[in-house]
Amino acid sequence: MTEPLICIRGLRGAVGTRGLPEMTVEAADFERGALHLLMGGNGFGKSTLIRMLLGFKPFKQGTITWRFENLKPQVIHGRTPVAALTELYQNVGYVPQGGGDSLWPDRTVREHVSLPLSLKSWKGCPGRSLVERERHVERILERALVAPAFWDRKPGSRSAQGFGCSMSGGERQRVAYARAISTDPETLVLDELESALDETSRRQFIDSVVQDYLGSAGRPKRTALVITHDPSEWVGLPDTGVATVLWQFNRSARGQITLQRPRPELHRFELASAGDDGRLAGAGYEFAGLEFRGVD
Amino acid sequence: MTPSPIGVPWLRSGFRIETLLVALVLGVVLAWVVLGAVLNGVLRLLFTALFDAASARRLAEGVTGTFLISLSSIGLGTPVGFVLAYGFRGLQSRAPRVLRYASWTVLYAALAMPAYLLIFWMGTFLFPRPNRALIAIAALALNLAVFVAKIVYGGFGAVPLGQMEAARASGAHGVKLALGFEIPAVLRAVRAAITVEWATTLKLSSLVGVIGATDIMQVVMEQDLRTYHPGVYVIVFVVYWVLITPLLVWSDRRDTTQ
Repeated sequence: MTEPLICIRGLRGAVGTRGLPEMTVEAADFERGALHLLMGGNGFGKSTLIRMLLGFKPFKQGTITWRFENLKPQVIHGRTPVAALTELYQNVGYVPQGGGDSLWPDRTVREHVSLPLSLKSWKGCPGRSLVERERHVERILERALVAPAFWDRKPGSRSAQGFGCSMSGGERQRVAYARAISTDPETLVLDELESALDETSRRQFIDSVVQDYLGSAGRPKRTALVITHDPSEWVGLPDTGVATVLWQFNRSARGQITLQRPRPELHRFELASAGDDGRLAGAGYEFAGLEFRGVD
Repeated sequence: MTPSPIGVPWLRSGFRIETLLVALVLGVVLAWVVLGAVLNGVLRLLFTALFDAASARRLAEGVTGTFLISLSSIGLGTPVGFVLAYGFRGLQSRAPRVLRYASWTVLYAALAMPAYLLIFWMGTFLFPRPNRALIAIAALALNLAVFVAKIVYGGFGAVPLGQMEAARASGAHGVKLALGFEIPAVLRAVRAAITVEWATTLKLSSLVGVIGATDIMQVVMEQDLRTYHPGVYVIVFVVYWVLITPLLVWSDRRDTTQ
C-alpha cells in the first residue's frame, strides 16, 4: 500500500484571528491520485486548513507531512518558516480563495503562466527554447479555457469601487488556474475554484479540470484538494476513474471544529417523484447522507 | 558558474558586492557633480538676463544647491526607509525584545522630532564641523526615511495576501519574492503617500537651501547663549515625543488588531 500524500497528526490551530474557534484534526491521511473535496459551512476553517497545509498559516500543535515522489518528506510544524518550504512549492499548484484577486496586476496573462516555469526548477518542458516555452504557455491557457483575447492583457488591480480591472472575475479565475497548472504539479490545491464562474461555464470548466488534470492516462497520478460548497458539481461527472473522497468540517456546540472523513461510498439513485413541471427531475447521488440531485 | 549565496541571479560567484557598492557611490557622486554643474550653468545664464551678475550667481547657486540637496535626500531617504520598514517588520516577529524596543525607539524618536531639531542635532553631533550640504542631506534623508518606513510598514499590511501566497506557490522566494512581487505590491499601495513625503522634503529643503543649516545653527547657538540653556531643546523634543508617540502607538495597535 502506498503512503498517503499528506498526513496530518494532532493538529491544533486557531481559525482566523484571535478569539475565534479552534480547529482540531487528530489524524487525517490524504491519498495520492484522488480528488479530495473539502466541505463545510462558512467560518469552519476550510481555507485555514489549506493555508496550514501549505505553511502559510502557523498552528499551535501537530505536524503535517507531505510525501512527494522522488523527494524526501516535507514536514511542517506549527512555526515552520514559509521560506523553508521551497521544495514543497515545487510540487504544488495553488489557487487561493478569490483566485482572481491573487493575480499580479502588472503582469500579463502570458507572464502569469510563464513565470512559474522560470521560478520553479521545472523539468517537464519538452525544450528550453523561447518558442517551445511560448507554445507550452499557449497550450496551458487553452487547457484553462482562457479566451485568446486576454492572453496579452494585464489583469489590472481591483479598487474598492471596482474600477481598474480589465478582465471579468471568471476570466481572472481561469488565469489563476492556468498559473497553478503551468508546471503540471503533482498536487493541485483549489480554494473555491468555481466561485466566480457562471453555471454553464462552471460545469465545463470543472469537467476540464477533472478530465484534463486528474484523469489523463499514461502519466503519474495527480492529486487535487478542492474546497467547494457544491460537491455535486464535482461528483456528478462522467466516470473518469478518479477516486473521490469527501471531507466534512463540523463544528460542535462549543465551537470546536473537527475534520471528518465520512463513508467513502458514492451511491447513485434515480428520483422517483416528479418535479413541479410534471417531469422527472432526473438522477442524483447520495454521498455520506447528503443528496445531490439532478447531476446527470 | 554557481549562483551567489544571496540568490541574485545576475550576481555570480567571484563577483564582490563591495565592488558594486563602490561603483554605485562613485556613479552617484559623479552624477551629482555633473548635474550640479550643468544646472548651475543653465540657471546662471537664465538669471543673468534678469538680474545683475552677482545676484544671478548667488541665485543660481542657491537654487542648484536646494535642488541637489532635495534630490539627494529623496534618493537616500527612500531606500533607507524601505530598509527600516523591512527591519521593523522583521523585528516584530523574530528579534529579541530588547532589540525590538530599541528599533521601535529609534524610529519613533526620529518620527516625533521636528525637522529643525534634526538639522540642529545633526550639525552638533554627526558633523561637528558644519558642512551645510552634508548636514542638510543627512537630516532631510533621515526625516524622510522614518516617514517612508512608517508608510511602507503600513503598506505591507495592504499587500493582498492571495498575491503573495500565489507568488510563493509559484516558486518565488527570498530576493525574487521581495523584488518581483512584494515591493511592487507595496509601492502600488503607498505610491501616493510617498509622493506626498517627497513633496514635503522638497519644501523642507527651503529650511537649508533658503535659510541655510549653518544659519539655523548660528541663530540657535546665539539664542542658547543669550536666553536659554541648551537643555531647552531636549525639552522641546520630549514634549513633541510625548505628544506624537501615543498617536503612533494607537495607529500601530489598530493595524495589528484588525
